[in-house]
Amino acid sequence: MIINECHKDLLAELASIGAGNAATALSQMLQDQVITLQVPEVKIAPLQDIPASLGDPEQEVAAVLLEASGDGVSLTVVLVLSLQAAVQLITRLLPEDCDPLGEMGSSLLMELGNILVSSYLGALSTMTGFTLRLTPPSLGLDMAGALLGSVIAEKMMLEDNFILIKNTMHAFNEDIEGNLLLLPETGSLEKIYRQMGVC
Amino acid sequence: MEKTVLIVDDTAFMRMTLKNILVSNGYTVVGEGEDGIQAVNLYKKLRPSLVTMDITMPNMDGIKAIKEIIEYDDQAVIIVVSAMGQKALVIDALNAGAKDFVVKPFQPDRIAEALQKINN
Repeated sequence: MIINECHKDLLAELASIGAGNAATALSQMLQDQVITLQVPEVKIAPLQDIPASLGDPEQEVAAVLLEASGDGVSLTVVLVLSLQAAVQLITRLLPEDCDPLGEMGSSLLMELGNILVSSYLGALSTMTGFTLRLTPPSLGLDMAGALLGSVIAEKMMLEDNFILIKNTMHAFNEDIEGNLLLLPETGSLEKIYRQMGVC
Repeated sequence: MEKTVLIVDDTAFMRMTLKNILVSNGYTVVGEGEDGIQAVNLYKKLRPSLVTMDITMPNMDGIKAIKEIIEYDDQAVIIVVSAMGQKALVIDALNAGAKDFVVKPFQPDRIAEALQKINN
């Protein structure tokens, strides 16, 4: 479908509310650590641009993938963190003697992905009235290009474009970048817009 | 009477977090399950006084597992602990027989409050 300015405004609003919810959730997980947010940046780009969408395709990343569906809407959601940001979060949340990239660290990343993606879906659900269910998360650790390329290679029936929401949160005197990629199935975006009265 | 709990969540990190909170609230963890099928089987085997149940899990989700456990034992005490806080899903879980619904992430106090609620 063709995405106009009105659609982009709606996505920006969704990104803003979702990021606010996600920051609140992360703050709670980090024992009420203050987390400030920059206004999320929303980009819409053709699917084939995914592998390079986060900059250097050779950058090592951690990605948590979940499928959301319900009320006739289906989308794949991928939360991507640089490996450095992932390790930084894990070390704040796990006991010191745990290996950040061991079994418990991987488990934590999947739970973190589940909670943060649910924060965004909660915003989408509130805005549309749709009830969306998630599949269990799966985790990938690899170079961004290879990992994101494999996501679209496995998917059929996707819209021609994907949505990238770039978030920058500030905590522990450092910036933590988290990127959310939304890959709607054909017809899903139109259904969401129609539900919200934006055509 | 000993207070026993079965913790059901597909991620080891969340099971560890819940275990620490429940043990500090006087519960003995008698079992841990990673999906709904394990939850139902372990419930029948262990008959714990409490179950904490995630919703989004592989093989069988938490809502279906609650229904099967309640069908087996309508006195089962189940608290849902899930990141999916959408209203319709909360209602589904409560209609299935859950006694409370805790949205992840949570503070330990929120779990303690749910325990107090079921014990009253």
